[in-house]
Amino acid sequence: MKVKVRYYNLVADYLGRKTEERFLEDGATCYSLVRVLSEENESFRRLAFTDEGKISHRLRIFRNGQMIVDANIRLADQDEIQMFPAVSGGCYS
Amino acid sequence: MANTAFVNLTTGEVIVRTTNREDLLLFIGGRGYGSKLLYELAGPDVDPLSPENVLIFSAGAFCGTTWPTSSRGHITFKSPVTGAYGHANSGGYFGAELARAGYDALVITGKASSPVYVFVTDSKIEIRPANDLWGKEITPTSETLEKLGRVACIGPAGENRVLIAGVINDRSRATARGGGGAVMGSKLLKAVVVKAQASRHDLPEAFKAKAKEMMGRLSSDPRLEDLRRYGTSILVDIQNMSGAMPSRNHQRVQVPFVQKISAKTLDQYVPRHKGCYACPVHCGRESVVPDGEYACGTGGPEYESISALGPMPWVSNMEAIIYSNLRCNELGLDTISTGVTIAFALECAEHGLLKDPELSLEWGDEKSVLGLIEKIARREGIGDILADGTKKAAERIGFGAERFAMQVKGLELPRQDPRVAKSFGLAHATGNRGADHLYALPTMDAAGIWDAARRYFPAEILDELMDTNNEKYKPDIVVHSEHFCAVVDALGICKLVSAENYATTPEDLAEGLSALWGRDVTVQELLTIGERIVNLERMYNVRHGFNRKDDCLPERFLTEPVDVWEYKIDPETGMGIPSEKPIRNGVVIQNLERMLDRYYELRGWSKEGIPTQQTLRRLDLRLSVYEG
Repeated sequence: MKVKVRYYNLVADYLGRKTEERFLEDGATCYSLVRVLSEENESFRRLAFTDEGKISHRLRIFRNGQMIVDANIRLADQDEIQMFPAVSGGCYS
Repeated sequence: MANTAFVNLTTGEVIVRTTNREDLLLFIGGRGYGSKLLYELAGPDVDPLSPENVLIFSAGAFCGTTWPTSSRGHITFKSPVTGAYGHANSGGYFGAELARAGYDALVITGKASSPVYVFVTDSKIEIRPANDLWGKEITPTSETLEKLGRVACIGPAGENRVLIAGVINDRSRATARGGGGAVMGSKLLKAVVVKAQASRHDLPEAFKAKAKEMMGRLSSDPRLEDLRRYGTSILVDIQNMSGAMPSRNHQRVQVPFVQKISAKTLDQYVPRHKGCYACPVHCGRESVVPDGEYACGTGGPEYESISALGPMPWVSNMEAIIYSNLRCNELGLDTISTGVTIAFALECAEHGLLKDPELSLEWGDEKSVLGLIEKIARREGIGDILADGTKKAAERIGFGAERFAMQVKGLELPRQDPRVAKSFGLAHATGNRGADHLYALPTMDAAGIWDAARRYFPAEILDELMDTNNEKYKPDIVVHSEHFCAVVDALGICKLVSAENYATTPEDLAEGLSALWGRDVTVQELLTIGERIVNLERMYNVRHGFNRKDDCLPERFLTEPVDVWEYKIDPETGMGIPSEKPIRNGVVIQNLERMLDRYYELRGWSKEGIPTQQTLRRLDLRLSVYEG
C-alpha cells in the first residue's frame, strides 16, 4: 500500500525532506512506520521514542486529520499522515 | 454574579457592591473584568507606584467551581516596567478561594500609613496591621497568615519596589510578571488573605455535568501525559533540539549541557508532584536538594525558571538552578525577568560596561547569579540598577547597553527565541503587557496542533501556517491565539490544558459558559469577547502613547542570525556534540514589519497599530469608556 507522509519543522529537519510517498507492507502500523524512519536518523529516533521504546508524546502524528493515540493502529492505502514535533508544556505566571 | 470590593488603604474605607452584570457579559470576569476596571480607574496621569494606582485581584467566571483547573487568579495594575497595561496570573488555590468567598474582584487603592494586610471573608473585609511581617520572606509570611486562609503576599523585593517583583500565592505560585509586587509594596500592602466560608453553590446542573465530562477527558488525555509525568520541564530537551533554548542572553539558541538540566535530571530531585485547585494533571513539582551547599526544598522550578536561571546565564548545575529558583520565590522576584536581567548584566560585564566588587559576573558563574538575585531584591550595589529591569538599567548604564536588553515595552522576554519560534517572536512584539509568551501562547505550529489548525484556518494556508520558520501566516496564529487566551484568563482556567494544546477547546468553553450563564454562547461569540478584551487592553496602552513603534523586538533578533545544530549525546560525558553541519542556517526574523502589517489588518487596526473606531464599534466597546 501507498501512504503520503508530510513532515514538519524539526522532523523535516532531521529527515531532510518535507514530504514523500511511502510504500508499506499490508498491515503496517503507525509504529512500524516510525520505527523505519528512526533508522535513518539518530536524532529523530531520540525525538520519536521513549527510553522504554514507546512512541514519545513529543512526536505528534495525524492520520487523515485525526491525531493518532494508539500507535498500533493499522494504516490503509492512500492514508495521509502528518508528523510534527510537539514543542509544548510551558508554564506561566 | 458576585461582588466587587473596593478597599482604600489611605482612608480605610471598604465598599462592597454587586458586580455589574453587563460588565461580566461583555468581559466575562478575571482578566477581562480586571482590564475594564483598570481602564476606568487608572488613567495616563497615574504614577504606577503612587497611591492612585490600583491593584485588582480578580477571579474568572469558572474559578472555584468543579471545572478542571479552575484555579487561576489574576492581578491587574498599571505596570511600573511598561508604564501602561500590566497583569499577571497564577494557579494554586488563592484565586479559587477568592471566587468561593463571593468576589469577582478585589480592588485595592490608596496607600497605608504603615504595613498592612487585607483579610477577606464572605461577610467582611478588614485591613489589619502587618508591621511584624514587613521584611520577611515568603515562607515565614505565609506560615504566619495561612492560619487564617489562602495567602498572596510580597517578599522583600516587592517591599523595596523592585520593578521585577511579583506577588507569590500559596507559597510558590507566582503572579510574577510586570511588577505587581512593586505596586503592592508601594501601597505598604504585605499580603491579602482570603478565607471562603462555603463552596460556590450557584452552579447549574448542566455546568456541573460539562465540568465532570471535562475532568474525565483531561484525566486521560494523551496530550497531557508528559506534563503529568514530568511537569513543564519536559520542554527543556525539545526546546534545545529545536534551537529554541535561549542561552547566553540569546547569543545562542542551544546548550551542550542539556542533559544536566533536563526533565529527567530534575526528576531526581522531585519526591512529589503538586497540583492546583481542581487540577487532574498536577504538573507542579516539589524539588528537594538533600545536601550540599544548595540543600533546600522548594516549589518548582518550571521550564521558564530553569531556562531563565540556567541557560540564560550559562549555568548548568541543576542544584544551583533549584536554589536560585527558591531564592527568587522567597524574595518575591519574577524568575523570568530576574534571569534575563542577570544575563543582561553578564553581557554588559563581558563588554566592560558593568562590574561588581564581589562577583565575577562571568558566564556560568552560579555564585554571580545567586549574588545578583540577593542584590537585586535588596537594591544593593549594582542590584539597585538591575532592580528596575533591563530597559531602565540599560538607560542608566548607557554606552549602548540597550542592545543587550532583551525586552519589549520594558518587560523581559520569556524563554523562547523569536528567531526560531517565530509565532512567539511576533507575539512577544505585539503583547500588550510587553514581551509575553502567554498573551497569545501561539503553539499551534510548534506543538503541531494540526486538528485545531484545520478547524480554524483555511485548508490552503495550512502547510505554510504550520511551518515554524515561515512568517507569512504567523499573524493569523497570533490573533486567533490571543483571543483564545483572553477567554481562558477571563474564565480563570489553566492554559496548559487549553490554549497550549487544545485539550480543552473553545467549543468546550462555549458549552460551559452557556451552561453557567443559562443562555447560548456560540464559539464565535466567545472568541469575540476575547477580541474585545485584547482591544480594550490595546486601547489602554494607546491612551499612554503606545503605537506601532512599541510592537518591536530587540535588534538582536533582526540582525544576528543563528544556526541550529543537531546534537548527539556523548554517552560518557553526557554532553551534546554538534553535528558537522547545522540543520538550519542563518535563522533570523526576516520581516517583522510585514508580520505587523498583516497582524494589524486582521485586527482591524490602523497601520500604526491603533484600533479603528469601526473595530471598536463592532466589538461593542463604547467610546465613553475610552475617552479619558
